[in-house]
Amino acid sequence: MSAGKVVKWKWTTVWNFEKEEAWLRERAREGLHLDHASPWGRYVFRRGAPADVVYRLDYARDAQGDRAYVQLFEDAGWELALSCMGWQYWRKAASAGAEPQIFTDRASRAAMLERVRRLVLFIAFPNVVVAAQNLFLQDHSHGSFVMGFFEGIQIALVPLLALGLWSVTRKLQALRFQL
Amino acid sequence: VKVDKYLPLSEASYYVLLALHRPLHGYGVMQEVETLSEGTVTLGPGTLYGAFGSLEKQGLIAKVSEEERRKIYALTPLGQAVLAEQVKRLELMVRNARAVLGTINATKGMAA
Repeated sequence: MSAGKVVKWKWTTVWNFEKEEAWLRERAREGLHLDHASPWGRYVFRRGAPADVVYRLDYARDAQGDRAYVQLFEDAGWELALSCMGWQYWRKAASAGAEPQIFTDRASRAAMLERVRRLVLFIAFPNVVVAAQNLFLQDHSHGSFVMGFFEGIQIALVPLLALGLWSVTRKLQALRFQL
Repeated sequence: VKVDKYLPLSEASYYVLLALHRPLHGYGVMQEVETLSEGTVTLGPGTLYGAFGSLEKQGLIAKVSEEERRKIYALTPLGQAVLAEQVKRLELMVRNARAVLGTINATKGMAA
């Protein structure tokens, strides 16, 4: 690890991406600017001058490989800080009093949340199937400790994903109610 | 042409179509919309990218060329028809409002 790099670990979930945005902005105020990250919560920052930098996340799998998508954001003054598993981390210096947004109407904000909701469903579905199979169909008398450990994690994921689905659905409904 | 199913346009779609009366790339559309709307409508790049995608899918706009990494779009004949019908409806809405509000104001004037 080179001298100017700082590693931080943070537990984040895809349905709380606004919290992640706020957390990254706080780090920027301390002079820590996102360099790269791993899906399991390891964030590497570059140490620099403290600045008020707004981060905005877009979940757009189709757009990830589209050069026109990146160009459009760059023309509007955004910098792609990170691109990871369909998630695009955009950042822009906050000008006095303004809160730069990448989505400027409710319809497009709702469309983004809908993509996140589908992602959670996509992760949740096989999980629920496997967890149900482990719980109800298997003979547990001969299971090893290691297998039991992984099954335990697997089963614990179900309520977590259910919470995620509930959270993102609630946000979507709140947005649609305003329409 | 049946244009009813595309109406009413959202404010963002309306201004994107209006800006594309001449071929423009994304950033050109953002600037044009900002000017046309006198700063009341700002299009973020995420919103505009989504609008381009859905308007293109609906056949209201089409890519006419590409400059480096920028796609240049223009209205299609269907897009022109939809925009014209939207403008007609908006004019009617404004006429209605003027008539109703004018009556209310006149009544208030008499009461005073």
